[in-house]
Amino acid sequence: MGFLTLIVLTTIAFFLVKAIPGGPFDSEVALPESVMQNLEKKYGTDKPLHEQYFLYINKVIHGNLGESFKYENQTVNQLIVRGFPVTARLGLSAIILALFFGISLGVISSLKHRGIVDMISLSFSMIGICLPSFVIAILLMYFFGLKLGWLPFMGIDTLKHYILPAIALALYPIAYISRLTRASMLEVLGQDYIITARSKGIHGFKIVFIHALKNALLPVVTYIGPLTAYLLTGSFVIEKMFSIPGIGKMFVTGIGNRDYSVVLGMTIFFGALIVVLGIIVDIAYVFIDPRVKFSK
Amino acid sequence: MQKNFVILLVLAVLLLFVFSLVIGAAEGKASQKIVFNTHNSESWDPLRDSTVGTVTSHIFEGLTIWENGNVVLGAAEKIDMSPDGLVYTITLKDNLKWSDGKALTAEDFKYGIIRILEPAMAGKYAIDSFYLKNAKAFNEGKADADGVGVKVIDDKTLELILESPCGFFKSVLTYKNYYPLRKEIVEKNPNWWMKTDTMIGNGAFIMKEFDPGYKMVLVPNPNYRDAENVKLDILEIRFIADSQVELMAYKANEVQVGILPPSDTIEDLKASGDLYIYPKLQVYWLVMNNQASPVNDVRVRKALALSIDRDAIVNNVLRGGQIPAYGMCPPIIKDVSLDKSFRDVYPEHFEMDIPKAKELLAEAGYPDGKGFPQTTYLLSIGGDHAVIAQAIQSMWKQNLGIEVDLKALESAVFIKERRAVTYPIARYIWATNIPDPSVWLNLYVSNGRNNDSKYVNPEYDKIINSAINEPDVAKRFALLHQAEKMLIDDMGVIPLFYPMNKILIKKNIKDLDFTPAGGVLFKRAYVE
Repeated sequence: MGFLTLIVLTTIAFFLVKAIPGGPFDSEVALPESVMQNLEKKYGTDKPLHEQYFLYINKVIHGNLGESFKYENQTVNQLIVRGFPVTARLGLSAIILALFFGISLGVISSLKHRGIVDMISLSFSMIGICLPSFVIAILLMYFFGLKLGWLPFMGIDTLKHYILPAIALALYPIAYISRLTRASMLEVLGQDYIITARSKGIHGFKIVFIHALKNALLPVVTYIGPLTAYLLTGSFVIEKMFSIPGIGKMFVTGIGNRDYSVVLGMTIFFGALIVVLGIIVDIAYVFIDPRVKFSK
Repeated sequence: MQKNFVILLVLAVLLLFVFSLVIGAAEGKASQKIVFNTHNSESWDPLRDSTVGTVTSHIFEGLTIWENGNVVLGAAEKIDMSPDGLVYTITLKDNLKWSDGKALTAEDFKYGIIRILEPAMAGKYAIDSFYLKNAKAFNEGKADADGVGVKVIDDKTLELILESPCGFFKSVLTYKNYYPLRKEIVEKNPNWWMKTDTMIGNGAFIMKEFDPGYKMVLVPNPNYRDAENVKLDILEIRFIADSQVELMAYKANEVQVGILPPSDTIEDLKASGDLYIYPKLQVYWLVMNNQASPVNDVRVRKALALSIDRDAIVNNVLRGGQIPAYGMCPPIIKDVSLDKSFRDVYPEHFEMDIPKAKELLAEAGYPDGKGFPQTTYLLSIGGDHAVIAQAIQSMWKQNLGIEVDLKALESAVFIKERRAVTYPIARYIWATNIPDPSVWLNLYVSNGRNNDSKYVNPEYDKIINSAINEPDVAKRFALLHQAEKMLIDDMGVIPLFYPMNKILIKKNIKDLDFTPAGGVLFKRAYVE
């Protein structure tokens, strides 16, 4: 099923990308005829479109995403192998921050419902959701990087370098997850079985973490799919701003460059990633919610 | 409940603490280290380098090089030109070596030169090698490599034969097209330039570390012919693409030399002494569809040209030290004798003259702009193009009474549309490494591939053609002056201004050198 999705995705993306005006070899002052011909021959863009498509799909099925138009002599596979671990590390840091702080804030808000903490958390969430990540990035860079000089804001030489970009990336999910958790916890805490547990004498810590949270987390688990997609795409801007050599930056510049292989290759790669994540989320469900079972 | 809150808080603080505890290996502060931020290239193979060549010019050295604004001998000891201007006999300096100690010979130069012309290489910049005899034919697959005008006489002597005389060929030899390459290394691995043990060059530095798109660390090449004059211990190159981020890094002293000062901070940077402005081989101009109404009428074209206040654009809008242009050749380009510039010999072909512009427009049938048809000015998104266009749009409205629409398109789409000449007016900007007026003037021959102005003038074509084939320098420049005058008299295009190179430099960086195209040279640089 996932495989079919990817084929359809590739096909649509292929024709869409080729339909965009402008090509990879256009430049302010045009290249001479012979040079253009040599380039088109090398990359096969002189063949009819349907032929290019079949050649490409055939390559993809064999796991070969082709050669980049801009990064000459480098394959998209190579570019992904080089850049993805960096993007993944950044994304993972952001996910950890998002889940930890998002859930914590959400739980606290729900427990101290309408108290000071709840109000502060609500305001903070509004900021996190409304401010675009690149604005947050610049603010973080300016205050913590330049003015205070506490944290580095260029590249990823050390672990310290991941802090600001991870925070910039995580602020929106923290805000969103905290709201989600809060709402879900409030709903769960009002359920009959919680009242039963309390009347049985189980209090505090045990109630919150063992009985309530586990069930309240279902919406959050569902969100992990779109969250990862957001983090991968949100990373494009963050990577560019913090000069992080991940694949996000490559994807964005690939579009401007009309680098068909990179754009299509990344689309397929991200598509595959999301399909895999979807499967993982489905499996996670089984463990969190006993009502959900594997279908025969 | 309080207990739980406290536990959560403690956990959170612990997490942050753990993060910050991990301190990266502190780099030993080398005393002579400069961090330089510049444009990235997807490939640093000299054949594919898409930048002005700053990075590769530190790892490789050509037969000639730029030094203090002039083209001087680099790897070459002497260059003799035959009387007809077609044969250059180049003698290499003694004892030239590659960075790994192997001897550098004329054969290495020949290999590099031929390689970019190979059709299979699909080299985008092959055109800069078309000066050589049969180079174009070879690139088109119509001739053999042996027929190309490059001959190895002996280990130290190279002979280059040209298609036709070229007055500025010595400056062409500074190009990466003419760098020597190690055949056995390059042919073994197409990505040889990515690895420190195979990125072997003959320049002042060698690559010690490389993280593509992110960082490159260069250290002095002990086998460089002039190694004793290289003062830096480390040249670290960064590829930050965002101008605001570069500025922040510069202010935090993480970067000492940067090339992207944001336009809106130019005034402040000039005041603080961080900005260095120097001439660039670039022209910014407007093309117009000379074959379609209303700009097919020379009076309309002239009216548009004469009513633009270039001083206002340069001093109030851009404020980057740009120079107003009334011709198509930047003031830094020298004329026949090197003590005069092309612009000294023929300064201005016209000047702003609003009453004259109004008069011409009225003569053309649009008094005070009445009845002037719907006209669109095409530009690309990004950079200063929009503010320039807006300034011109308001000047035309104010001075001529005409309404011109602005249309901004994404770069690649913009180029396509401009090439198709779908719109009557469009912006054009072109920079070069070649200090010669023909770079811009040659664009406007009738069947020129880049003649987006559809300027068709057989007389102009004749003059340009004669200039291309004229071996006598004085006669050639006279022809170029003629051509420029003709182009401007017809107002086939509207010159606007000559952009400048703007560089952020920390005050304690000394002996930095520059190429007119915007390259920065660190060969003799040091930190005070």
